[in-house]
Amino acid sequence: MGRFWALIEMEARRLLKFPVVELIAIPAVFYIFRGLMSFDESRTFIGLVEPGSLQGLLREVAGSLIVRGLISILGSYTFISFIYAALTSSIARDISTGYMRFLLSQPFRRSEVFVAKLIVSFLTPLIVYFSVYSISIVAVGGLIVVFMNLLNLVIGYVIVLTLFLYVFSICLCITLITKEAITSLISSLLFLYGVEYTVRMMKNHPVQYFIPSMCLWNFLVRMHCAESTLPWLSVIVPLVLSIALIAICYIYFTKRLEV
Amino acid sequence: MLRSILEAREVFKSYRRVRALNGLNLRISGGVVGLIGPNGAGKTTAIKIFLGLLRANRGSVKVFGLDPWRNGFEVRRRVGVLHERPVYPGDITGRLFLKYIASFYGVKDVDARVREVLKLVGLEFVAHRPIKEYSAGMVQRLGFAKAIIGNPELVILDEPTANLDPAGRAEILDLIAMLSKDEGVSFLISTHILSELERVCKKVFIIYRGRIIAEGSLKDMVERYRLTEYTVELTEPSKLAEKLEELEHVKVLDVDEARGRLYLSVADPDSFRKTLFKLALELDLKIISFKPRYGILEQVYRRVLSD
Repeated sequence: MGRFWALIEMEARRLLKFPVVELIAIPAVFYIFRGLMSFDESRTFIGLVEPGSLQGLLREVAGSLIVRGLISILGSYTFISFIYAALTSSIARDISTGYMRFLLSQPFRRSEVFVAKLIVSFLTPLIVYFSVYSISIVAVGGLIVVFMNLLNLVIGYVIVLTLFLYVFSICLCITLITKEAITSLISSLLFLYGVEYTVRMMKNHPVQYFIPSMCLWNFLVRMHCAESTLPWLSVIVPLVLSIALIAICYIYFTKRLEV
Repeated sequence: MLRSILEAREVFKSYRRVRALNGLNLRISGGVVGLIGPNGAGKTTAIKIFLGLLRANRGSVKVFGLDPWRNGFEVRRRVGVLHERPVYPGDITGRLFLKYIASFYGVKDVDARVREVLKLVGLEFVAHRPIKEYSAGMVQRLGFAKAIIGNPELVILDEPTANLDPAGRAEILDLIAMLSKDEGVSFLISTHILSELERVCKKVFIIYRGRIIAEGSLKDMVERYRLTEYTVELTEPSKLAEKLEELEHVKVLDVDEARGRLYLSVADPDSFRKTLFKLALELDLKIISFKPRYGILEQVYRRVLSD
């Protein structure tokens, strides 16, 4: 076992003990299946299909599966925020209890410890959601998935990734600022819910096109309506912003953090 | 001149308004070295700086010739550490935990090394239990095992025998002495239980308010800060105390009638010894023992601090 993988394994065992993964997976299954099984929405797609074109019908149904799955993931924004606020607050707890001192005293570069923490706390919910999303589409769609537009599926994954990165980066920043578990958890949730609520209130304001989850909803609606020009900035801006925030956290963790 | 393993020059470190290190100077060439000082003297801060966990505000720190803040990885590969009040992952077993640590250090035969270290620290019978079920003493032993499992060249121990019973303390101290002698491992031990250092330390540094106020081998220290406080165990100590008060160069500090003890400050213990036994004969008293009041190091430490 390589030293870095040993670190990841140890951290995963510590953070993802029973029933953490289960608590992420069960609501994910609920949200995504509920979205995919929403037949009311499916009917509207059937109405759009040219009469007599079975292939067109199947393509539309398959496309609707992608969109409905994504809508259900965006709809679980509150839950995703909670997951990441809780997972990143464990980093704050590590700092305040002295566990981070133990980790940083081991023969690792600080960047390795940061990446290990990132892999365990960021990737776990993302992998769970991607897996549930992919399995659910196949389970609900059956053979229809053959007619799926793969490009749309990839765009769907990018949208989910953007949402998760956005939530995670904000939680991570707050965690490294507060360095205290409960404060970090509450501050992250208040910030994320506060921004979401404020952006929803600002009807037709340009900011809605750049702040998740609203900007991703807008993107999805346009994709769903098969508009010729998609608002790519609605995905790119939050994606770049999130990566920048994580980069700032990385620099702080590797160059400034004292434990 | 011996190559220095660890060197600190004029190191300053402040936490907001509190100055933890105030021009620390320290040079360690090997062996078992003690860092002693009262609470808040800056011992733990110094250790954290040596490990690259904290950054000094000013001054230079070199461990194996490297700056631990900039080259932390290279330094920590060669250093094992036991922190004060350590926190480990509670849900995994002691054995698995040590396997991970051995993997971190790139130990070749992980299983064999884990078995060996578990036996050394006396945890082989509880190694299958989760760490959260360990007593404080077991956690301390595990921490010691963690510090030595990677075959480090330098082991830094912050209060290594805290939470251990007397037998456990003796075992850990014997281990330190054995590893230093047989395997050439250097130790830097920070503690306030001074009697421990006497058993194993080659050299001691006394730290006070963030600076080293005295350093040297234990022998040098004892010579430099001559021992003056002694305890006499005898029958009827008050009777002897009356006589002793008449003598010059002897000061009676305390009389403990119940325990039959007399505490004295003596300028020249060798010549006083003869006087003491002569007086005891005259007064028909039975002297049971005549020994330094505190451990050697403790007495030196008290003298240095009082100076």
